[in-house]
Amino acid sequence: MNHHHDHADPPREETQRIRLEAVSKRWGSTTAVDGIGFTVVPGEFVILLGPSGCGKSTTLRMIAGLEPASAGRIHIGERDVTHLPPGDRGISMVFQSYALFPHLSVADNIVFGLRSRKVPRPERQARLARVAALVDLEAYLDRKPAQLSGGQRQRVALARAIISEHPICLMDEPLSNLDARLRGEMRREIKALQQRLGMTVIYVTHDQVEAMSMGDRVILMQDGRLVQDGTPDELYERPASAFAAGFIGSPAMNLVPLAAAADGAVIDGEPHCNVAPHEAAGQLLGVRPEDIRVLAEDATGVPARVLDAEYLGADSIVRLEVGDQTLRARLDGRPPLGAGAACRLQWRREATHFFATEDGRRLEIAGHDLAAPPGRRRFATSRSGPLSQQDGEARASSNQVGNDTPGVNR
Amino acid sequence: MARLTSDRRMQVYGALLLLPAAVLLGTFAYLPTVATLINSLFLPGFRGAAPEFVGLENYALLLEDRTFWTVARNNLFYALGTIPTSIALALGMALFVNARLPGRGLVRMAYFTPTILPMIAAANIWMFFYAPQIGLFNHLLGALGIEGPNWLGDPGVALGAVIVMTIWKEAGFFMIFYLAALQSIPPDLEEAADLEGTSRWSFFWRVTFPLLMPTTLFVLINALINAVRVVDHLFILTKGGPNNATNLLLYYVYENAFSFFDRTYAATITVVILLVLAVVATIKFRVLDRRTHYQ
Repeated sequence: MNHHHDHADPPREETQRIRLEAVSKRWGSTTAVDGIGFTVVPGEFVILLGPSGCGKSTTLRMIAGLEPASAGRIHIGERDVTHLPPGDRGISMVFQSYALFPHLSVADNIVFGLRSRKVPRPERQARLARVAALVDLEAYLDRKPAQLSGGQRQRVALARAIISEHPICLMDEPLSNLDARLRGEMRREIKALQQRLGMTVIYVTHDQVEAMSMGDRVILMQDGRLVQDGTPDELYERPASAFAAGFIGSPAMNLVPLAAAADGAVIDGEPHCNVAPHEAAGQLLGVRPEDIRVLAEDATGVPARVLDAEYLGADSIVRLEVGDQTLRARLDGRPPLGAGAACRLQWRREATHFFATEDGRRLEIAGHDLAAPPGRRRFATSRSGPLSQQDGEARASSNQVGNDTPGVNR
Repeated sequence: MARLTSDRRMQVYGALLLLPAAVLLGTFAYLPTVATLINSLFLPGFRGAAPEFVGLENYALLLEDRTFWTVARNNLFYALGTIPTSIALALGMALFVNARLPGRGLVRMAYFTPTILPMIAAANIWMFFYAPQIGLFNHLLGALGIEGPNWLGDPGVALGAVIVMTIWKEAGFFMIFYLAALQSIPPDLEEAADLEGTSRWSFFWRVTFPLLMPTTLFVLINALINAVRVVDHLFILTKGGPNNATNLLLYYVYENAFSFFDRTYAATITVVILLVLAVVATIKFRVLDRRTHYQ
């Protein structure tokens, strides 16, 4: 297979490396992108993730050359492309709207760029046949874009990017116009194509599911700045800020302010159960909904009351009131308790994250393991599960002791 | 009384909704057309006598009328002179003011101004441009040491002078349609083309122009209708002269009806105009529609 010759040709691989140095974009007094810098190595699938208006699309458009950078430098390989026109940068792009030419057939849409680059007709046809087979469009080559479904249009846009054989492909929210089921399908398809062709992809999205499932690396942006640059794993396990913590995961990580108490930090409004060492007081505690266990009222842990529950089939989202705070827990199966029921919450030490209140940066503080009070190893061994399976545990916890032990009610 | 089924009632409802438009069209478009057609088959009755039915005699007369053929030829030149130029100019201006340029709103307005001006006012302005001694054009030419022609008085240049004025007046009007169409073309099409290094020229011919085809068709039909609808500026500028050099079809109809009081002959010319227009419009839609992409 010869779709992509970049693998066989190491010197050319070097030309694919994309490097941004302190790139900014300003319109008048507003700053859309503020000193972004990162490097994308050949063959990597990098996600630019962030809420709308965070500057991720602008960053992509600056790499493409559709938007001039106000400051900073953009390198592709050895070349400084900061001021090169888009057509000279050796990149292809898939647009959110697909940007298909409505009056041209699928075939003409796909070879549009080859005609611009004066590729001779026989080669055009050969490449078209190859790419059409790759994206499964052979039966639709004579149709107009209006006669295609959303997914098929998406494939045409992909085909147009692939046929150019540029080593770098930029994608600007390519799946946002598709329905949920098709989106899942196209996610896998794009990822498979990228790996098969060894493309370097920079992919803009605001959808954390796309970011987590497709990216080799995720660059999270907020207000034009880079918040975190890491693997999906790192973003999930060690969010660099309260914003990153809230952005990844569904539902979002619970973030609750901690107050000082006699023997540690407690959740604001719930002074009886300390959840972290003293240094965490006044900061934010983060716990993912899926890391929270809900136990019976007489267990150890943070006392809470069920506000309501959403049953989603495979799991349920339970909203819980702890002191003045509301937490959400994601539990397997049906909600174990009805609204108004009192309960206890537990989580592992590794599940706790701490962030500074003033700027949201991550703090290196270890939380308490609420599930394992000293002398009660039984809790640590019989691990989590919905309340209904925890009767024995609930009974055992009724003879709890030790006022000073973390996570134990006083 | 038979009860109306809901289906029936919807039909009545629909008919009632159509009624106002149908009445207006019938009264002011179809009825006059039919009346004209009937009129063209009669000779006018003088001094209270009833009009006399003569069949196609008026049409036979028309074929031998040398003035009619002069006027028809004038109108053909007029159409050929105004339509392609004003459309090309309109497209060029629309492309220009659709781009990012300083004072874009002002330029757009300036281009559109001739359209807003009443035809009579515009024609009066051009009178001063074209006037033989004191006119602007001859004044400027005189400054260069060239003696300008009598723009509206010389049979050789008068039609050209009228054509130039029409282009000036119409291009801005057509520009508005092109501008609207250009703005409906998504900008990411050009970006997608840019990424492949497509030149502006190539992008225009391969994408912009084909996407503007529905507008071009619409403008073309309008321009054609306008070309045979000219009366007002002939009134001010030339009154069809000198020696019918600038006389056009509708003005000739007007002359026959209201200067020579030959209503039935005027009706005959009108019918011929309508027929020619209908044929041309049909051909345009048939031929161009097939190549036109509608969004």
